[in-house]
Amino acid sequence: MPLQDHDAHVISRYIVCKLEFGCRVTLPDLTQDAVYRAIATELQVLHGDYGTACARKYPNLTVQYLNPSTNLVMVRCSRDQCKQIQSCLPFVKKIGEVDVFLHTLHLAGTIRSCMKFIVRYHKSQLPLLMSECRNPVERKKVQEMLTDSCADSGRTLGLLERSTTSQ
Amino acid sequence: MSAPMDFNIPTCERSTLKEKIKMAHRLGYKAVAINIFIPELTQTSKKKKSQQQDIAPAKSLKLSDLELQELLGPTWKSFRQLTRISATLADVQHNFVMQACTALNVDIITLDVTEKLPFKLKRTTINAAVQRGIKFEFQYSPAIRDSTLRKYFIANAQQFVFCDKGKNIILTSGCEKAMELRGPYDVANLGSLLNLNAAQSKAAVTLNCEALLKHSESRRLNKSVSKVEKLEEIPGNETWLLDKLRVHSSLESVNGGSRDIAGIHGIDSSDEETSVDGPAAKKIKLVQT
Repeated sequence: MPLQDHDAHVISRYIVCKLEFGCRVTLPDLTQDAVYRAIATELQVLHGDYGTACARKYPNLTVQYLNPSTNLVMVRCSRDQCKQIQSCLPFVKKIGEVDVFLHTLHLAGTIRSCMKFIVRYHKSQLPLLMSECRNPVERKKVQEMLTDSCADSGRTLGLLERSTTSQ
Repeated sequence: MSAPMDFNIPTCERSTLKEKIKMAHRLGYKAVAINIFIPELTQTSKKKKSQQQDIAPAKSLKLSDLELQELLGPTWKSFRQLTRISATLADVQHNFVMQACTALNVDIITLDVTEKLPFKLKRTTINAAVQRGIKFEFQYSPAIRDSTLRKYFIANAQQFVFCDKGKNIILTSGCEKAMELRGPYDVANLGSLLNLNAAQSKAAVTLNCEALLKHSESRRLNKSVSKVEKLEEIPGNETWLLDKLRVHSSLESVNGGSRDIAGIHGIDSSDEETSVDGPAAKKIKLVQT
């Protein structure tokens, strides 16, 4: 009886990048597709047919997640090709017609780990947003979000519980 | 990453400079050096008047504290601005490079990677420079701008890394616009294109830059471990030391002694009257890497 062949364990890497626009008043909307095409062209230019071919085998190079409001992108590639892909990310100058570049924030092995990082990153950006608030309404909103996010952390929750039970 | 730094932001008009600094801060750089170029001094025999240009003093190049605060927001204090002067060699031949590596009083040697190197890199010259603590700089912005420049960048830099085994290299931008800057993690990834291993590429952005700062301080002091500074010249954020030291103002002997020491080290003792009743000088220990 022939042996059943099972899928070998697939190992990928997930890169979290931020799209940096420079000083623009209105941020354009970019699609996952456009970002993928920009990275793929750079890969072709830098590593040629070999690079593009390696990016086609499973796990392929894809843009898994794009958050249009915070401009975070998550790119997936195979672990063997990770260094190649990372070396061509700095050369991306334009996505479509827009002048953007990719700022690598985090590299992880699982989507879950990347998502955890993204949550931490958003939390750390809130105080910076606070300083850019222009009117008290915006400021109040950001402040509420800040206090909510602090409330999520285990230590504060513990403190809250202790204070409520003692009363 | 511990304190990534970018050491080559060329001067330009104020508004573009502000954009570049804001971008550098946003990308996570902890220190930035604003670069001013001295153009090649060519010898034109007719002109009697020397072509000495007035170089603006360092303070006017940097952004003032207030401008910086406005620009960067609440985390402005952790960001350091430095300035740097570059002189260019007009006709690059091997002897000049040899002299620059062994004798010249410099911190950084920048190899122009956008053209084919006109001289042959020799291990002896490079090792001489490495021993003196001089860093070799490669700018990555030209590589981002243009494809042919990219080929020269990779070719020249790889050749250099081959000669010197990847030590004493710093990667900097030579950006003309704010959009040509890249984050420190990305710049370290460029190192893999240049045959640097992971640790060396990271060091090119962080550790080597810190070592460079220490080297430039020590350049002013010849060979020494401690540095003597006048109390009036202490920067604002270290004045708490004055209370801690509780300096008495009537120490004549210390004054006399400190004056001599300042002379030996060749410090710019801007000869303000070190009056007898003036405060004694302060000693700073310099940690050499």
